[in-house]
Amino acid sequence: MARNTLVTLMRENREEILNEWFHQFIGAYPPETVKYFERIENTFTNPIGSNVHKSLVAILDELLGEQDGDKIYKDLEMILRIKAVQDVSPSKAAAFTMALKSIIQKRFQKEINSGTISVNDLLEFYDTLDSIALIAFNIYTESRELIYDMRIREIKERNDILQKANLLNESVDTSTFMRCSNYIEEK
Amino acid sequence: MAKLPKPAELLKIDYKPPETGWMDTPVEFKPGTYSYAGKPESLNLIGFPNPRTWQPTDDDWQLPENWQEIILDGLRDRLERFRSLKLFMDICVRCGACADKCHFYLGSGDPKNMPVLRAELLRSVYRKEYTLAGKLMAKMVGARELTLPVLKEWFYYFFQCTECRRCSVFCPYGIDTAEITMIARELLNLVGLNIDWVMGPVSACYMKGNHLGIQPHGVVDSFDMALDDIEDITGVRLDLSFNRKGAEILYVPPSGDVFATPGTYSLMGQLMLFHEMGLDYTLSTYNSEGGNFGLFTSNEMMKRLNAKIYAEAKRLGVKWILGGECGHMWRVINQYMDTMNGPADFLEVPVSPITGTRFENAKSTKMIHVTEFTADLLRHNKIKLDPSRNKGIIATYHDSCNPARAMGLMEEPRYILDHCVEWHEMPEDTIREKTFCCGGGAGLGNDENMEMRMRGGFPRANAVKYVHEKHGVNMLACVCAIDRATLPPLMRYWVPGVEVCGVHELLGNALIMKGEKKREENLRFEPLQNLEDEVAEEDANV
Repeated sequence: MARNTLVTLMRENREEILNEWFHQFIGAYPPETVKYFERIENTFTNPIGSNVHKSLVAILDELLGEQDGDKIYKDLEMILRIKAVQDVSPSKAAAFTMALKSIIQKRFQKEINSGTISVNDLLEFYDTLDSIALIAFNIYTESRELIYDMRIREIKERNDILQKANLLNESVDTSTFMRCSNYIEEK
Repeated sequence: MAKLPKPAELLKIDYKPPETGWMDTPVEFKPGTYSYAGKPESLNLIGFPNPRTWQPTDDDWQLPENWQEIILDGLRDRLERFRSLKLFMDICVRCGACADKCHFYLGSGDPKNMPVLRAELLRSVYRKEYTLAGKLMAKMVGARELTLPVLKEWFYYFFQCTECRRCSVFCPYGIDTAEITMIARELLNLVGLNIDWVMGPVSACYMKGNHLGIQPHGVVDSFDMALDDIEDITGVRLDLSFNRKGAEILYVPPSGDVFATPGTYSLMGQLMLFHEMGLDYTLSTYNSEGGNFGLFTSNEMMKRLNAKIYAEAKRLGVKWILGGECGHMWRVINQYMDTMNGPADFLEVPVSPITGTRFENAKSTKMIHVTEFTADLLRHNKIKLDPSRNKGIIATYHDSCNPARAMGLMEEPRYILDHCVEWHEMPEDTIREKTFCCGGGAGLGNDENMEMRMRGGFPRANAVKYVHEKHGVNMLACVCAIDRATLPPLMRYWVPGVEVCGVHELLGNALIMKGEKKREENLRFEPLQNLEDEVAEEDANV
């Protein structure tokens, strides 16, 4: 992205923007959980908080830097993988990308109103965020499809085993089989 | 006409806490986060109460009219019988040390997955019924009545605990939260509340000796297939015996390793090793299961299923028992078998016929883990290995919960890996007694529960991802058949590029056998990378 005022200001306020973005994200969890998920020092004792934080940092830095699509995809993937198994709708799962818009709007209200940040710069940045949101939808859908595919694979594998053992024929009356525990219990 | 939501409304991500407290917020059964109900035919087979067709999503759970009385009587009875339960109900000071230690909590953020709160679901009812303060002041002391919503909550959350016992490691009082789950499941079973992935295997195991319900000839067939594969790969034909009286050792693997990959590869490695050592052992087609889903049902059911191990050992007249690479089986064997179905005074303390090592640790159970047996062989230089056959594999080791926490099996599997393959430890907080569960133990490894499994398995996967990125790890070794079933999808979801294997698969790859042909493939029929490198080198020289 060209070095415009918005990007410069965002770089200067990087820490504050990141903090707000992260706390908004974690704030979506129940209050009892927020205090645990906000502790990000150890990724192994707090995998969600620390991975989300790491990914948000990487995404923001890419947005303010080279905007490498592959790198952004990788970090979006981690967040969407998490959200796709946490019982949230796709819109809620991807909403964090859009949240950055309101964060910028609130933080730089004065600069936007005064024209220090040009409308063009703002629209350009919002466009980028829109693309990211769309990619996030893709990843969410891919993750859900993967879950269904894993389910199907497990069912098929189980089916194959049972078929091999001729156990899928329900007309077989299993009550006539020898009960291996009988003689043990009789004792 | 519905009003189109404003972006701000749609995107609102602020969490709105429920208007009611945790005690009064009912659960909602959503697809992907619960297990299907046990089938009536399974319950009929083992004589369990209230067999019927139902699902957790039904409004009417078709409970007996006096279900509250049944459960409260059941709780009273267990409080009298198990001093540990009485203690666990009374001594928790809600310090919170366990709160963020559960993999389901860390992967979901749902406060009722905090072990302390999960236990509180049962404790709140206990207080109301059995403490004076609870009777008089109810809510002030965290007591509540057993209502239908409470019962549904029990079902939801006690089937969201894998009984892995990680939380217990951190409890300053040593409360075994897994035992609280076990008792809660026992109580639920009294009114016919259970899941198919537990009751199916339990009834099949009771009827036919293994979880899948494969009959004796099917068991033999499966071993034959393994022998065919071993012959194709090594050129050596193994000779197995079933139900042979007078053998020195009874070998009991988990059936998951007999019927499903990648467990079968690990089983092949073990059979190859026993052949190479000339071990005098036999298998039983009646006792064709080391695992015991009774552990996830009730004390009595666990005992009934476990009984066949000693009974077969007695019938066949063996000296001692060797158990396979299984997980929860070892909690039953190491902590309960001796007092449930022992004393096994007709057996001898296990002594390795090859090294003469006497396994004093198994003095009372008379049963040792196969990695103990193999590590001892390696220690005495009794096994010839060519680790270069595992070239290309960079492994890590997942401590399966029960062997690690219920029997302290930490070093032996690592010792075997040291001899077979390049491998790297995962970070300290995620291994040994602090190991993270696969997310699918205790009967929760079913396909309908996939979303919950991915949540619960995330802390484990996160640690694997770390060594995958740092060291290029591409193989996750473990000693549990449930792990081998549940970890492959977990890896596919969180850490693509990492496969799952048993420790003895890697040993089998490296094992040099008498009379074997030049190995070209590993136990998965994949070309050996060291050979490919040799050919490339030769080509380069030409």
